[in-house]
Amino acid sequence: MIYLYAFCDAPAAGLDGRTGFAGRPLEALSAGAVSAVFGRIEPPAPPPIPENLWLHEEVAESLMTGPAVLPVRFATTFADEPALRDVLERHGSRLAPGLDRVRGLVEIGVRILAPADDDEPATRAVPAAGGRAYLQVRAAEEHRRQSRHAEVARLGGDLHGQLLPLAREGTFSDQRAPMTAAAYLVPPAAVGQFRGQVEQFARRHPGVRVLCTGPWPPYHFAPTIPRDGDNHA
Amino acid sequence: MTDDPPDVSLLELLDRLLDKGVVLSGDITLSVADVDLVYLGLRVLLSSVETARGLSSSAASANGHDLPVRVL
Repeated sequence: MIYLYAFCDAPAAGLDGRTGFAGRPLEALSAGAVSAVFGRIEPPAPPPIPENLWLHEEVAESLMTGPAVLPVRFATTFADEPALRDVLERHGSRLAPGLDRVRGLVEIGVRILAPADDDEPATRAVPAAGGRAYLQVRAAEEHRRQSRHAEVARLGGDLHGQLLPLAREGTFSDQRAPMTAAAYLVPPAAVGQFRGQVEQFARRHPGVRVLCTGPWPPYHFAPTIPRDGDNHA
Repeated sequence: MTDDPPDVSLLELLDRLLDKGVVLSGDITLSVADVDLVYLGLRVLLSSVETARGLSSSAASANGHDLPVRVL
C-alpha cells in the first residue's frame, strides 16, 4: 500500500535517509512539475493516534526546506504506485497552481481561547431545595458564558483584521466557541513581525489567551481535489 | 516531555491533519468512525485546554518532539 505524505516541486530533494511509517524510506514519484512524496506500508493505514499524526507532520515539515510543499490529509493511501501516478497525471493542473500559491510561504496559526473559569459553578453553592434560586443562578451562569464567547469572537475578529495586512492570505473561523481559529500564509522573513503583532495584542488583552503556533506546512491553503476525479469542480 | 501544554499543539495538529491539507480521491482508509473517535478525544482536549493555566506564557514542544511549533 502507498501512503502519501505531501506534494512538492519536482524533483523532490533531500529524501535520502529520511523515513516515514514503519521506518520505510521516503520515495518520490514525479509527473511534470509536481512530485508526490510517499512511503510503502502494510495495510491498514495507520490509525489517527497522536504518535502517528506527529510522524506524518514531521515528514511534511522536513519538506519545508524545499521551495514549495502541499501537505496531504492524514491517512491518504493508494493501492499501488500506478494509482498514485494516475492522480498525479489527472490532477497536475490543479496541484501545480496549488504549489505556486504557497511557494516561499509558511503557515502560522493563531487561536484565541476564552479565559479559564476559575470559579466553581455558583449552582453548587445553592441548596437543592431552592429550585427557583437554582434556575436563576443557572441562567446567570449561561449568560456569562455566552458573553465570554461573544467577547472571544469579537477579539478574534479584531486580531484577524490586524494580522491580515501582514500576511499573503488568511482564514478565520469563530464557529467553535469558546475559541477562534485563524491561519495565515506568511513569508518566513516576516514571521518575527507577525508574532510581534500577536504578542502585542495578547499583552493588551490579558483576559483571553492568545496562542500563536507554527511555522506549519500550509494545510489551510492546500487545494481540494474532487473525489470523483473530475477536474471541473 | 516538558511542562508545556501538548494538548494545545495537538489540537492545532488535529485541525490540520484531519480537516485540512490536500484532500484527494483515492483509497482513503480512515473511516468516519476513526475520525469521530479522534474528535471525541478532541472535545476532551478542549475541556482540558479550558482548564489549563498559564498557557499564554508557555512554549510548546508537544510530545517531546522537536517541532517548530511554538505557543505564545
